[in-house]
Amino acid sequence: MRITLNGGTRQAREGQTVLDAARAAGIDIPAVCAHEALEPFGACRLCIVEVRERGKKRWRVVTSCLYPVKEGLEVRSDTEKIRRLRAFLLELLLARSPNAPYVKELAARYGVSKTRFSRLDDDCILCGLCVRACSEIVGANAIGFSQRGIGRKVDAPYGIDHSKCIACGVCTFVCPTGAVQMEYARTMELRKQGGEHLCRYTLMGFLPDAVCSLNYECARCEIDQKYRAEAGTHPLVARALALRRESEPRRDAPGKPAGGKSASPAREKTPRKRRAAPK
Amino acid sequence: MTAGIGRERARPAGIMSRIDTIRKIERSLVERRVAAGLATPAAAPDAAAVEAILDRHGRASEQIIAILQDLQEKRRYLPEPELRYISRELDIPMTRIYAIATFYKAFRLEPRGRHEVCLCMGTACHVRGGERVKDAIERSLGVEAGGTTADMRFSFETVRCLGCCGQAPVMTIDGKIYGKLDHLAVGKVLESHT
Repeated sequence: MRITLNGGTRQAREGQTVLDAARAAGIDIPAVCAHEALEPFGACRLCIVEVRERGKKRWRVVTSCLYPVKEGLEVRSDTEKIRRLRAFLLELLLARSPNAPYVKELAARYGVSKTRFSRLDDDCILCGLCVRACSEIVGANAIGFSQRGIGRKVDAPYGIDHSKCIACGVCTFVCPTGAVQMEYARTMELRKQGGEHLCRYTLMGFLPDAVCSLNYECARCEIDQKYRAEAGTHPLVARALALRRESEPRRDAPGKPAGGKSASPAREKTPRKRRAAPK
Repeated sequence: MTAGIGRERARPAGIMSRIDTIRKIERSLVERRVAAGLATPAAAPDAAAVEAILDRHGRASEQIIAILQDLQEKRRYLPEPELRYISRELDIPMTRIYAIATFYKAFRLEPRGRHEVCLCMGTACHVRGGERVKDAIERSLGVEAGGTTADMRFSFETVRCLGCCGQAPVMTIDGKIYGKLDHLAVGKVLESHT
């Protein structure tokens, strides 16, 4: 299907979101809570764009990460109105996390350096990446949200021992601001109380049975670094991405017909599968 | 904004087996902690009562709010063992249930007293001295608004308007209205509830 992005006509696929299509076209849209290994969520609102459906007169402001492309959809991502709204959102983020370098940089990139609102000092911007990663990628559901409105926070039920947590570290990895940190001392304590050593890579399903030379001090884990160097990301995130590519081959198909430049083995695999799928 | 968290999704087989591993470890960890005297054994949920509620709602996870409402009606708050039981039975993550239970103000996670005292802090009651009645209640019960007395006799709550401003200042105890209060009358009314 064809859509119009900032005046230029583009091919887009059924099931793509406006954000997917815009990114495929190389258009810069800030999106903090969007992650390619996770379902869209719509928490940060920074990815707002103006859209107009075919045959309609009115331009509407929507979150591009949640808005599916439609035939003849017109999208404007850089209008005066969008810039103004986005700056406002960034001001609010800056008021919540004035000391988080990530937030400061992001705001500065869109021309916001100070906020008119009273400041908190909470590095957590409630993007929900950690919560969703724990649920969707790991399946542990060790952390979730609690409360609402200004009291909303990332929390564990009853704040008690996190026996559901396998210390995989995905939450700290996906956290953009560094608000989520591992309590290694506590993890160790929990393990001692459990009476046996538990390796997070065993729990993640990467190692059959681990004998650890570091006496299970996960903070110094070598496997961690090795996996990260190989995958370029957290091993669980890498696996989630691979699974996603396999189960939804269309999601990763390029917007325009693929050029013949796919050289990496990972890229070779996908088109073959796609061809096998019935049209 | 909460769409998508913890909802039913088809998961690859590898992830399912990992979830089973996590559950197994979770169980063994809890058992060991209890055996070592580091934790008190979890209180047993009132399984029969919860089962009755679950069956009434067809054991459907999308009925979770109605289920929690029924549980709260029965127990007057949401006890942790019961929530964990529901989490297991309906396969809803505990984090999800906790998020729902803390999101809605109507749900309570703390045990409530035998009598529910609601004092109106609306405009009319405010003008007629509601604040002083509040002080008197707090002094006489020894708890602040939102609290429960140690003997579990009263829970004290302030509300915005009870809809009978002609009776101001007004409060309800277990739904019964006590109007035209002052700081002296309040003590007697409270004493009549055991």
